Amino acid sequence: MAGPCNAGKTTLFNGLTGSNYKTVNYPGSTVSFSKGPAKRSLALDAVIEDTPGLNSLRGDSSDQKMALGKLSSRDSYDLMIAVVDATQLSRHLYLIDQLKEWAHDILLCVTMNDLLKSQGRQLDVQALSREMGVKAVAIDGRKKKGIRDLVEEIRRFLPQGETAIHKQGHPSKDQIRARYRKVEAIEDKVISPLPTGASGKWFNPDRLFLHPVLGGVIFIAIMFSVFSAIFWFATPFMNVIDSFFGMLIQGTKQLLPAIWVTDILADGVIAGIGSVVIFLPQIAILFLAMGYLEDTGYLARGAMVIDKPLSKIGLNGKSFVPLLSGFACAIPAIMAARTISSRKERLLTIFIIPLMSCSARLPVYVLLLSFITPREKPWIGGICMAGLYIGGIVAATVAATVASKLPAFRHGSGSLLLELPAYRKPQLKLVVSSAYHRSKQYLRKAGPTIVVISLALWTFTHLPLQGTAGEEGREYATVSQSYGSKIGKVLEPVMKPMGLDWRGGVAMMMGFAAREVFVSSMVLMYRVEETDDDEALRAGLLRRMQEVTFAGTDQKVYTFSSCLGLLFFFAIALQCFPTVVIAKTEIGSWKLPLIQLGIFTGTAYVGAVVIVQVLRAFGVA
Amino acid sequence: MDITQLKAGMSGIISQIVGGDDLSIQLEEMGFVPGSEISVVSRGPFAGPVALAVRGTTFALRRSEASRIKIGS
Repeated sequence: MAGPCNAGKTTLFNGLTGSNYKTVNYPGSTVSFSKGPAKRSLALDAVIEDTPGLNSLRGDSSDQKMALGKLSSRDSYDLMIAVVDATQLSRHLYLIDQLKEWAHDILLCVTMNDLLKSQGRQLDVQALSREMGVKAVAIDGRKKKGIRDLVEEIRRFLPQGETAIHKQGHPSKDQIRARYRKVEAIEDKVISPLPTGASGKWFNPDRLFLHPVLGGVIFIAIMFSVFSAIFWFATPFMNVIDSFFGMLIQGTKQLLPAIWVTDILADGVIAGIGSVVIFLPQIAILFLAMGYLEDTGYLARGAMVIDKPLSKIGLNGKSFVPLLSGFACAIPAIMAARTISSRKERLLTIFIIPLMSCSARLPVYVLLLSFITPREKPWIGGICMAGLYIGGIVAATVAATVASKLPAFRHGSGSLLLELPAYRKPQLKLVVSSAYHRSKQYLRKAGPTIVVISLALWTFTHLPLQGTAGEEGREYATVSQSYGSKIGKVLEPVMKPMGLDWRGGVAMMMGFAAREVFVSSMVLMYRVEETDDDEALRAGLLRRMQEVTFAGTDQKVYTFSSCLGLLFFFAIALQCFPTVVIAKTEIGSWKLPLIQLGIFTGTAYVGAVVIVQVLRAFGVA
Repeated sequence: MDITQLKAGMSGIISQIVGGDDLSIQLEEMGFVPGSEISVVSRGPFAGPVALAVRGTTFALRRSEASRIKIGS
C-alpha cells in the first residue's frame, strides 16, 4: 500500500488485516512499517504491507526515503494499492500519476467519499479508472464499505510482466505545473456536484481550535488534561505492577535455594524487567491519548499552535509531542522524535528530552523533598515538586537556546509545511490497536536494554560474592565490598563536595540503571530494615538519613544543603544509561548521546557542588 | 500581494511562488501551483504559522514560508 499522508491508508490497512499485523523496521533503519496477512474473512491469500505516507517523490524525510526505496524495488511486491482522498483528488493524483510511471501494476483506492458527499460532490469511479488508465475502487475504510470490491479487484489482478522502473529526476516547476494541469482536468471530469447539493453548511472547527486567542487556551487545556491523565490513571496500575514484582522477587527468593544465581534472577533480572514494565501504564496512556488526538485531526493543529513558541528556541511544532512524552519517560519520547523531518530540529529535540522530568525521578524527589520540607506543611513539598518540573523545562529551554546557536544544530529559519487533516470522528478500535502496537514496540526496544544494564550494574555492585548464602546481612556485606563500592570509596573525595558519602555515591551509581533504583539502593546501603509496606520503608529510610554521618566523624551526610544539591543533580543529570543507548540507536551515532551524558551530568555535578558549598558558606547545614 | 496579508476567511488565486529554491518547488508539488484557489483558514495564535486551504486540504505554514505565496488581486 502506498499513497500520500492522511489519505486513509492506515484505516484501510486495518480493514484488510484486522489487528493481526506486526510493526517492523526497515533493515538498518529506525523507520518502521506494518505488515500482515489479509484477515481470514476476506479469504485472500496475500500479505499486505503499509508504507509511510508520501508528500512527493523527492524523499524529504527518512521515512519517505524508505517508502520510495521499497516502492521502487519492483521485485519486493506484486501489486501497489495506491490510496487517495476524494476530497483532495488533484493533489493526490499528482503523486499517483508519477508513481504510475514507475510501475503499471497499480490499483487505485479512493477514500473519503462520504466526506466528498457531505461537501455536495460525488465521484465517478469508472470515469476515474478510464482517465487514469488503472483500475479504481471507491472505498470507505471506516465503514468497511468497498473493501469487498477491492478484494475482488486484487483477486482479478494479473501481473503485467513489466517490472522496469522508469525513475525520473526531480521535476522542474514547469513539469510540476504541466502535471497539475493534467490531473486537474481529470478531477474536473470525474467529480461532479450532487443533484441534492451540500448537506448544509457546516461549522469549521478550525475557527475555534486555531483561533488567535482561544486556540492557545484550548491547546493548553487539552495538553494539561493529557499530562494529568498520564499520572492519575496510571498510578493504580503502577502500584499493582510494583506489588506484583515485589511479590515475584520475594517468592523467587523463598522458592529457590539461597545461592547467587537466585539473587541474580530475583534482584537482577526480575527487578530489571519490573523497572521496564512499571512505566508501561503511563506509556500506554500516553500513546492512547496521542493516538486519539491524532485520529481526530487535532494533533497536527496542536503542533501548529505551539510552533511559534518552540521556534524561538530552535525547535519545531512537531517537537511538542516528544517533549511532552519526556515527562513519562525519555525512551518513548526519543522514539517519538522520528516524526520531525528536519534532522537538526530532531537532534535538538532529542538533546533536551532528558531534561524533562521523567517519572523515574518522582520517587527520588518524593524521598528528598519529604526529608527537607516540614511534615506539618505538605504544601511546601508540593510547591517544590512543581518547581522541579518547571525547573526541568527552564533548563531545557536554556539548553536548547544555547545549543541552537552551535553549528551542529544551527539551521536556517526552518520550515513547518504541516498538513492539517480533516477533522474526523476517531475510531477507538484503531486508536487502541495502534497504542497496543506502539507499547509493544517500546517493550521490545527498551526492554532488553534496560534489563541488560540493570543486570550489569547489579553484577558490578555484587561481585565478588561475600559470606554464605542466606546469612543475615549478607546482601549488605556483598554490596559494601563489591567492585562498585571500591570505586565508590575511591570516588568519595569527588562525592564529598556535593555532600555525599561513599554509600550515597554507590546508591547514585546504581541509579544509572534507572533513576528510581536510587531509593532502593539507599535502603540497602544504609541498612534500613526492609518491609513490604512502602510507607513504612520510606519512613525508616528517612529516620536513618537523619542519623547517617561521614565515617569516623559526627558530621551529618543528609542535610538541607546536601539534599538540595542532590535534587538539583537528579533534575539535570542524564542519569539513565538506557536513554543513552536508545538515543544512540535512534540517531545512529554515539556522539550526541555521549555529549548529552557528559554535559548534563557534568553540569548537574558542578551545580550540586556549588549549591552545597555556597549554602554551607552562608551557614546553612 | 502575498497570502499573509489576507484576513482569515478570505481567498485568492495564486499568481506566483517566489524563488526557485527547494522550498518553492516543494510548495508547488504540494499543490500551491499558480492558478490554484487558496484561502486563509486561520492566522493562528502567537503570530505563528497560518493555516491555508488549497486543493481540498489545509496546510500550516510559517509566515516566512507563506509570504512566498503571491496572490493576484
